[in-house]
Amino acid sequence: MKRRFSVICRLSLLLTLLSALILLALMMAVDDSLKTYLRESNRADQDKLTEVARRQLEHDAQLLLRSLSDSLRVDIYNQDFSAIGDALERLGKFRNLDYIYVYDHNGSILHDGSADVPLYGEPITSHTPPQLLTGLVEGRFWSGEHLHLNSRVEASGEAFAAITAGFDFTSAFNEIKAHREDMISAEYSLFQNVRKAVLLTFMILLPICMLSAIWITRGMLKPLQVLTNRSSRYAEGERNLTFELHRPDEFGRLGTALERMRQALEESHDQVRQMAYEDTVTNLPNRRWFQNRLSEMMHRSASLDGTFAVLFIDLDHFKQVNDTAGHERGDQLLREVSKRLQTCVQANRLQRGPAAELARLGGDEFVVLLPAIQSAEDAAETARALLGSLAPPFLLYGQYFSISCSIGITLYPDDGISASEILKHADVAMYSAKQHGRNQFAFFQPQMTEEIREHLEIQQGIKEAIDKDYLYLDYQPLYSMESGQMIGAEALLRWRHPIKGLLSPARFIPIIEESDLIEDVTRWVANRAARDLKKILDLREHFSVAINISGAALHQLEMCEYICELKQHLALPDKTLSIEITETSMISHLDSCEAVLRRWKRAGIDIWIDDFGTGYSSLAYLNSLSIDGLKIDQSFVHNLIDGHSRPLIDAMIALADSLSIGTVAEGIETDRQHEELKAMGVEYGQGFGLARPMRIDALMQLLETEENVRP
Amino acid sequence: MSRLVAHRRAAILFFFVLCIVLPVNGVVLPATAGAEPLVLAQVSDRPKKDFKQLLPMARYMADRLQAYGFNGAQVQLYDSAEALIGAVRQGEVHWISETPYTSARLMQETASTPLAKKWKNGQQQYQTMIFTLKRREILSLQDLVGQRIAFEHPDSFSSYFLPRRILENAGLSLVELERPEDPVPEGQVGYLFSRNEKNNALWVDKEIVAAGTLNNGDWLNPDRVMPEMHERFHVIHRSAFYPRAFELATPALSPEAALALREELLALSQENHAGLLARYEQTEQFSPLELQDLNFLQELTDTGGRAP
Repeated sequence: MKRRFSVICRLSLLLTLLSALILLALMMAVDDSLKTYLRESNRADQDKLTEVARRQLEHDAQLLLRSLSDSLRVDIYNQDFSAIGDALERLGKFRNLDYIYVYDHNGSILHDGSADVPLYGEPITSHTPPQLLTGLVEGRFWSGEHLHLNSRVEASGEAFAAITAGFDFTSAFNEIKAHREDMISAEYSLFQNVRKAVLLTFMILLPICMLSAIWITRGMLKPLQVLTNRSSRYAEGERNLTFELHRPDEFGRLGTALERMRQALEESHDQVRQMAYEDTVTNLPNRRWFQNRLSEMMHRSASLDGTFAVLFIDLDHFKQVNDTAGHERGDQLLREVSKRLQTCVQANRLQRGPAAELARLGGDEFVVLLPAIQSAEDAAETARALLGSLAPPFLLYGQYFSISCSIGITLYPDDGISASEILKHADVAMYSAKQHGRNQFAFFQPQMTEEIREHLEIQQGIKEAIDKDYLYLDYQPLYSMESGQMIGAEALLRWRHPIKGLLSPARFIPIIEESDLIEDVTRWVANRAARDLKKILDLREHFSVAINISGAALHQLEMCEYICELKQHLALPDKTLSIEITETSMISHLDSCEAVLRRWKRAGIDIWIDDFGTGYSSLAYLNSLSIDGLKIDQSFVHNLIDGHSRPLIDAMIALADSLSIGTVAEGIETDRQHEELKAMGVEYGQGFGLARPMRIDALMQLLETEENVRP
Repeated sequence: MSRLVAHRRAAILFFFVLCIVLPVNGVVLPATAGAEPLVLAQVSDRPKKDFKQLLPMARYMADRLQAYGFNGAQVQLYDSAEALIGAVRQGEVHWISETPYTSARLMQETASTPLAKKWKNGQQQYQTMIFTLKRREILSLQDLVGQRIAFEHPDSFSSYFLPRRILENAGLSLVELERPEDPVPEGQVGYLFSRNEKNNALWVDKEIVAAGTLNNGDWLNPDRVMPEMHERFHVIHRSAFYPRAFELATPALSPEAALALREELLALSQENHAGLLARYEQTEQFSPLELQDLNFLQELTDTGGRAP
């Protein structure tokens, strides 16, 4: 950006320019006035001078002539030509006379001023201008610069002669003209001097004006400069200042307003900072704060060559608390947990000195930053203390909650050199701790990354798969051993990954089951299967579709309700929708799943035990939970011919018979197996030997074919 | 040579005159009557000019006559012969320079003594001329009857006393006119005073009067009679020649001083005193009185103002 002049500089220049313009205008006005004055005064002077001179000359001439008349009265009376002539001659010596005549009452010239009086006796009128009144009267007449005068000569008050004269005042008027020119030239030089003086004054005043302008502007705008300076400093981050100027004028008010703005900004800033960096549930620092802190730490440790540890804490099975006790209690538990962790961290800090810091990353994730540790053992010790702090159960609303946590530990700089890396590796380590049975801590190991990565990929990918319809269902038909007729099908979840192709259910389903995502996946499967079932029911009245419900989803009442509502919404007849639960998952959630199973049962949904015979089940529940049937695990069917599983299968059939519940043999691959099992009294069978899992279209086609074949 | 003879003769005559005159008046003045200025007087109608002309000579003589009790010079000018006579009678004047007629009256009326003839304006003697305009065709004195003639002023010898006597001797009757317009009584000649020589000539030239009178000196002076006028004028009468002017001693001047003054005046010469003489009314020189001069003066007074 081009450097601009400061406001003071510009204002000063502007004021100076303005002053200069005013001075210039003033100077021009003075100059013009002087010129006009010079011109006018010259003309007026000249006119006045001429007028005065004319009057004076006239007066003098009259006086002269009158006095001549008086002095020559006797001589004229006596016709004393010599005396008259001498007088006229004397007069002519110091007056420029055009003529001078003495004439009598007849108008005859008595004397013409010359020695021999040649005009004696001639009529006066032929020698004077016609405009001049002649006769024995007073008269005067100007012709240019010549004055013609007529003056009476009286004796005893009566005129008996007159003197008439023509005065030539050319030289007098020339002198006036010359004088005027002198005056003009003198005044012009005076005018030039005045002009010079004005110019000089202008030149003196201009810098004075400039300095005054600078001085005044600087004085006036000083507070503005102060405010600008403070604003700049404030903008650069200086906080220890005030805009208050303690002045009564506009600047003072501006300062006060700025100060109010600053205070409001500070408050707002504090609020934002609080909102931005503090977790609202626990009032602990939040993820953003932690990331900043971590970056800061790394920056500091890098320069100090220091070591620090990050402990990534994830509460075990916290989701279940939320699901069963509600979010309010979940939040309360989080607050209690955070208090214990904080107390523990602070106690730890007191022992060690350097400040350990606790933050909540979100959900049930916490993190502890241990600055300046001596060795990994320091971190392990803290982790143990943290685990121990959560060991006593929490009493909330009269109810005890037991919660543990898994901790992943990373050390800087060994386990990463960036903040995100450190945090991610801590997460991985935590995950590993969870994998190894929870309620423990684990240091990050590089090989952890790979196994965890797969988990993470699947957990992250499944959402995308749901959204983008990468999931689909295969149906494995279920046949009646007796009639050989297809009576139902088991819905099997398939995931066609856009890059990795078809993923094995055995691989991704356990990983999904570990996460909260199992809920979404279950909903998707239930929804899709129910709708497919609706279509199938249009084709065949008696048909059932079974969906597998993971143990993780089993205790969720929402899920239970969802399936019930789905059945009702699609108006599926009773006993068309079945739910298969593995024996293992049912046993591990036996208490919590009981209500769910009963709810489904009431809704007309059949419940089958999947993979029966592989778990360590108490047979008691088979009776109490109103199970509709057992699905004999395919391992038993596989060992039927060449193995020793026939007695077990017999026992299972006998058990089912005794409980009046159905049996399904899974994994029938050969006709022989089929025949044997039929003979043993298994009601239904499924397996590659009967039909491979197929898409809904293929199933429908198969059903149609079967319908056509049936008589 | 003849001049020296004349000188001596005049001295004898002067002495003679003194011897006669002084006892008659019975006035004997002391030779030195204390320190006083020498007073020179004249009748003048141009006092300023005449004062300047007379003063140097008065001073010169006062200086020369210190021995007679004079410690300075004064010039007194009077506007008429009567005034001058009055002053002389009061003893206010020591010395007078005048034309013949006034000189004669002074001798007659104040017992003043003529000392020497003064060649005033370079003239030892002069004559009076009576002139007219040629075109008026006035050819003789007799033609002036019923006409007006201009004299200079009543104290003028050459332009009043003398011409008047000439006209009267020619049998003409003169009457003074108040104004040029005044009518001339039947059979008489009207006269007017022109006041000066110049007017005299101009009046004739402008036909205010028929004739004028001027002495030959003025006639030839171009300032008074312009040369062109000569052609227009015609002189109808010329008088005899008379002495131009006289220096007189009043009774206030002691006979010794008068004698000394006479000697001093006669001693002035063009060789030694040209400047002084020139300033003294253009005087050429002073010459001693002759008997005929005394007779002439006597004759003037005898007629009692009547023209001889």
